[in-house]
Parts: sequence; C-alpha cells; structure tokens
Amino acid sequence: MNTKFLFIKMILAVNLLSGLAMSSHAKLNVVATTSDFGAIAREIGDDLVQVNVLAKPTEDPHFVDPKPSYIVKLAKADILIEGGAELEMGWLPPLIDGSRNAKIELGKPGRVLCAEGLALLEVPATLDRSKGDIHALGNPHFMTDPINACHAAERICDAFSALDQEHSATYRQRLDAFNKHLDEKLVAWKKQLEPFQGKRLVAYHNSWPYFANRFGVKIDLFLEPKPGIPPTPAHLAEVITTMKRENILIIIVEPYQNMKTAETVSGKTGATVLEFTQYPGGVQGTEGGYIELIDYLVNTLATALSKERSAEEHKP
Amino acid sequence: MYGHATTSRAIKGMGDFLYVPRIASSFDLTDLQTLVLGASAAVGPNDTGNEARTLIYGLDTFWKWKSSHAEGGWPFVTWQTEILARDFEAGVDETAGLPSETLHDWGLYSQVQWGFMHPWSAGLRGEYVTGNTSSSAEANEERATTTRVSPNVTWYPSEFSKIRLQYNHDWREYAQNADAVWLQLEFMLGAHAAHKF
Repeated sequence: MNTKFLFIKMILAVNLLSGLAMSSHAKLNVVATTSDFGAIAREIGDDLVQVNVLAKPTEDPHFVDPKPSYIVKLAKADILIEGGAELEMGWLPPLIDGSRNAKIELGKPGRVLCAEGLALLEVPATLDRSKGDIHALGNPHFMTDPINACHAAERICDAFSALDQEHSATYRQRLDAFNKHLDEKLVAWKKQLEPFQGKRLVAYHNSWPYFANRFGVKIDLFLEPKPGIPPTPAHLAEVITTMKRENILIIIVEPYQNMKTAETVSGKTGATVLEFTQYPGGVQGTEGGYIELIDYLVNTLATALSKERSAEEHKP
Repeated sequence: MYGHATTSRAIKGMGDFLYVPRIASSFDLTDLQTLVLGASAAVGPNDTGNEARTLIYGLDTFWKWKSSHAEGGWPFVTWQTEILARDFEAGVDETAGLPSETLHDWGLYSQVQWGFMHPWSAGLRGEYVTGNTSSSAEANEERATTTRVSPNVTWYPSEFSKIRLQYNHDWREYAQNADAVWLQLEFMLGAHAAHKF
C-alpha cells in the first residue's frame, strides 16, 4: 500500500474520531437575546448547554448596543434564541449578518423564534410613525404571561432536541418538569391576585398587556405619551388628573426607565412606585430564573394592592 | 488642482483603481465600556500627472460608555478621535512654472458626546489641520493651518429624527477668524433601520 495514502487516511481517521468525540461531549453553545429566554434555556439545557445572554436585564431591550464582541459570540453559537416579535430588530440583524454563522440563519434549527405560533396582542391595523415606536407584529413583551413562557420553553426544547438528539429525552423531561412547576405556580399566582381583578395601574411603558390579561388587572395608562416617546409635561398632567379622578395608586417602573418622572407623578398623586422588570436579574430577587421573576412580580403587586386596600378601609 | 494643471487619465491597469483598506478591532474594557481601534487608508491616482498618486492614511479610536440601566440608549458618553495624513503627489506644471512636488498634510479631530438626559446630548469637537509649504500659492492658501472648536447640542424628537445646533469658531492662517452657527435636521423614512454602535 502507498505509504503516503496510508498516512493521509490515518490523519483523516484521527480528525474524524476527535470530531465525533468532541461532538458527543461538547455543550450546545446557546446565545439568548434577553435573560428571560436565557433563564428558560438554562432550565431546559442545564449542564448540557452553555448560555450567553446579550442584553443586560437592567437595560432597555429596544436599544441594546450592537457591540462587536456580540458578533463573536454569535459566530460561535449553535443556537440563537430570540423573541421573533421585532423587540430586538433595532440591534440583532446587523449582529447576525456580521457573525456569518449559517447555523443561526432564519429557518435553520439553530434559530429559535419564541413568538412563532403565538397570537400577539395589539397588532396595529396600520403602521404609522406618528403612533410612536410600535411593532408591526404586535406587542413584543409576550413573555410576561407564563403561558407564553411555556410556549417559548417548548420551542427551545425542540431546538435543543433537534441539534442534540442524544439528549432529547433529557430535554423533554426537563421541559415537562418546568411546565409542571409553572402550572402549579400559575394557580397560586392567580389566586394571589384574584381579589384585585379589574384594578387599574399605571406603567411607564406599554410592556404589560400580557401580564395584565393573564392576571386580570388593567394596565392601560402610561407615563410615555406614545411607545418610545419620553414623557412630556402636558401628558403627565393628563395622567395625574386621570389617576386622581380614578384613584389609581400604583405606578410600575422598570429598571431602565426614569424613576424621577415616576416619583414626580407619585408625589402629586400619592401613588406607590413599584420596581418591576420583565427580565430575570433586572431587580434584586429575580436572579433565580423565570419562575422567580413572576413570583417577584405577583408578590410585589399583591403586597402593594393589599396595603392600598387596607389604607382605603381604614380611611375615616 | 492646488495650482497644478490636471490631465485626463484613462484606466490602464490595477494601479489606476482606488483602494480603501480598513482594519478595526474592538475590546470590551468592562461590561459597560467598549473601545474600538482602527486603521484606514485610501490610495489611488490623481489627475495632476500621468504617474501622480495620492495616499491617505490614518488611525482612529472610539470609546463608549453606556449605563447598565440605559433607557432608549441614554445616558451614554462617547469619545472619538481620528488622525489622518495625506501625501499628494502633484505633477509638474511647466505652464505655471510649478515643479513636481509632494504636498503633505495632516490633521486630527477629537470629539466627546454626552447623552446626559433622554433624548438630549451635548458635545464638544476640536479639529486641527496643517500642511507643508508648496511652490504654489494657491496650494498654500487652500491647505492653510486651521483650528476649529465646535460645541453642539442635539435633541432627538424620536428614534427616527434629530435636530442639532452647532457653533463653530475657526482660527485660520491666511484669513480672518470665522464664526458659524449650523442647524442640522436629520430624519429617517421607511422601515426601522438597525441602530449603530
């Protein structure tokens, strides 16, 4: 046998074997755009995946800086998990283009669009910039509803299973455990907020229609005059008038929103400002994961509404 | 051009094309700070002679800090500096009595922009440019040493538009100092474009 060919065959065999060995033990490299998807990916993937989250949980997810280092993370990714409802459209496309990673192209198993298959709320009939920064596919903050989180977890599990078939039973088992835990918690959360059905709250930005629908509260008055447009004195005056007239005493503010504006409104209405977040890690006490996040939101809101009710009852 | 007569040059080979190489690398200094370092150049023919060429080359740096609790991208601070040099080979012009010579110019700008409150930012920019002495009086006048200082303030009515008010003060070598006020309106039409880093 020709020695040269034998040598080449040996090198190829060693490369193939080392490749197989690596693929059988290597963790799936997962990149999530926001920490809610990242938290669920860790629940499902646990020790079988390495998860990187691009947006900080404390920053505005509409305006993440497309840093060059993110391109490197995406270039190495096996899976990209995003909302798929245009929340990340201002910064994700150039990063994906720059990564030149075929594994995370649209339509590939490595690209997970969590909103796919969901009926999003507030889909605009017409697109018009005079309405502010609205999204053509509907309100993109769908993960504040735990039922939608189950849907996202399902999609993430499907992607993990498709790319790592050897462990698909493990992923499915973890998905079932996550869903079971979430179902149990959902019953408790709904019970906790049951006494406050129909209660109206103020939010800084229109991030909470899914949360409001699921838990029966009304969050339809905002400090922003239009989505993405900073509060104006004239608009805040209208909000204050409405709050006084309807006795609305809760204002929801997220970590990246202007607390001073909310405190000004609070000072004129006597309302309580609640620190809310859509993302695990955005507020202290939510670092544990998605279920801990909703736990925090429901507990914080229920406590504030109970205090408000108690104060009303003890009014002379 | 710069007092030298121009000639019409046809494309005869690869040497008659313009080349614009660029290399840049970024470093995340911390979770909130990013530094980009770059080098760029442009090289190609000019029309002052059949063999005359121009070489522009420079180094640049861009640093950005953005708050971990940024809303709409605010607050932020950016600092951008670029230094550029140019070697312009001016061909001989016998009619004007100008010899073949290389005009060497260099300059730099540095600007700081501070997004102090959503949706406002304030900035300060300094510029300096100078060049060697040429045989052509026109070249000396056009390439005179100039220093400019420009404070500015920008308001972003929405994500898709901005209005900038800028004041410039120029110190000029062969002319009187100059003052100018610029009002710039920028708006975007069509689909939501990607944000820039």
